[in-house]
Amino acid sequence: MKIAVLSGKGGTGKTFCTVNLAASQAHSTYVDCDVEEPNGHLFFKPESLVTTDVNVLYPMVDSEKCDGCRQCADFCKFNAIAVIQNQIKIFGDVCHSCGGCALVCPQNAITDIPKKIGSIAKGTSRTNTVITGTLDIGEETGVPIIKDIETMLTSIDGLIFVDCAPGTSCAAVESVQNADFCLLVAEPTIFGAHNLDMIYSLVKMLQKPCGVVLNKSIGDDNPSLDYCIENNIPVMGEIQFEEELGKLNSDALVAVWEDKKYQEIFDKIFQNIIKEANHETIANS
Amino acid sequence: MKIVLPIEKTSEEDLIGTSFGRTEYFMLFDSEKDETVITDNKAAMQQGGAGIKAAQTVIDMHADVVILPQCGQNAMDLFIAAKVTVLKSISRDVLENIEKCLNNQLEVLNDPHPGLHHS
Repeated sequence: MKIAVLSGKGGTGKTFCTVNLAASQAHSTYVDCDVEEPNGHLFFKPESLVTTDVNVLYPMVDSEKCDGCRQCADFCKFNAIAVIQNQIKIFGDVCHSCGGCALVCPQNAITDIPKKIGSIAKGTSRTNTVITGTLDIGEETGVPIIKDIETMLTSIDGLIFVDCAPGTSCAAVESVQNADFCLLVAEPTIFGAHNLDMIYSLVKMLQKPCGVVLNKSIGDDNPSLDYCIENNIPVMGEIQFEEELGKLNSDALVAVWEDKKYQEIFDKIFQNIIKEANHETIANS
Repeated sequence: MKIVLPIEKTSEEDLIGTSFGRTEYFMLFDSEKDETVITDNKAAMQQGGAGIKAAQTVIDMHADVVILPQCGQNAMDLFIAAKVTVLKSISRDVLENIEKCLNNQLEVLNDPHPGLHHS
């Protein structure tokens, strides 16, 4: 079972929830798909790391063969190719690695060569498997890394918790597509409810069963809870705004490993997710 | 000399466009023939790479000189490769800039603009 953890913006506690959920379930896998800023590994400190590169294909021109016919430049939807004095010039930062230019070239002058954009590291932390995707600095998109991670996950059994990219970007959508359940982390503010609305719209569109964790709860007033009630979204659990949690997090410690009461909170959230996911499956079958 | 300028229509008069890649059309003034040619900017509505496509249009117009308020790195690379001189406009007035250009009173634009996106 794959559970994707999402939030409408960074800083709501998405990594905190994913790390602790994964740590609360022995032998589960934690996957960091927030490839622009992966930070789950700071808590897990995984060992025996095996790292693989992630490459995208990038066109290279053989200027001897190229006769400047422009078919590649006309084909390129992203305007990554220009033609000057019958020689083509390719702009790597605009190229989307679609491979179309090599296909349309009548002279076979274009070859796709691999270019590294990031890496995936797999290691272990206690009984957990920890997978971390990292996008290299200056690269445009982490989506190819998430796709490679998805491929890697097809050979992993058991429980998988995916720490998604914040917001509703392509990277977040990519991580959600193959999820069985989406856990939405929300803050107790009007802004938090607005962000929850964004991310809920996304999972609704992708027709994924979902539930909400109300993080940093303080007092009775919670606009995100009001949003859940209005939209009939099940709440999987509530985590209080506590100094103790703040300290654990700032020391990069896994809360459920430090204090039994947090193990109980996150295990309860997990049990609620299972109940809700099963309920959804029955309701839809 | 063939001079190309990005042009934007306004309710009053046509002015030098503030964005090169997204400008409405390009005007070519051929000082030897004393004639003007207008070409639509096909890059204006493109999702990305507008600067590259717009530079291609200008180069295909066989420009010797292009007068712009600013120029991005990608377009600048193409102008250098195609040996098109990039001059910095001093105002949005089309005729004023052409005149100054013909009198060698415009400065060469050397520093590419870092861009308004991805920031």
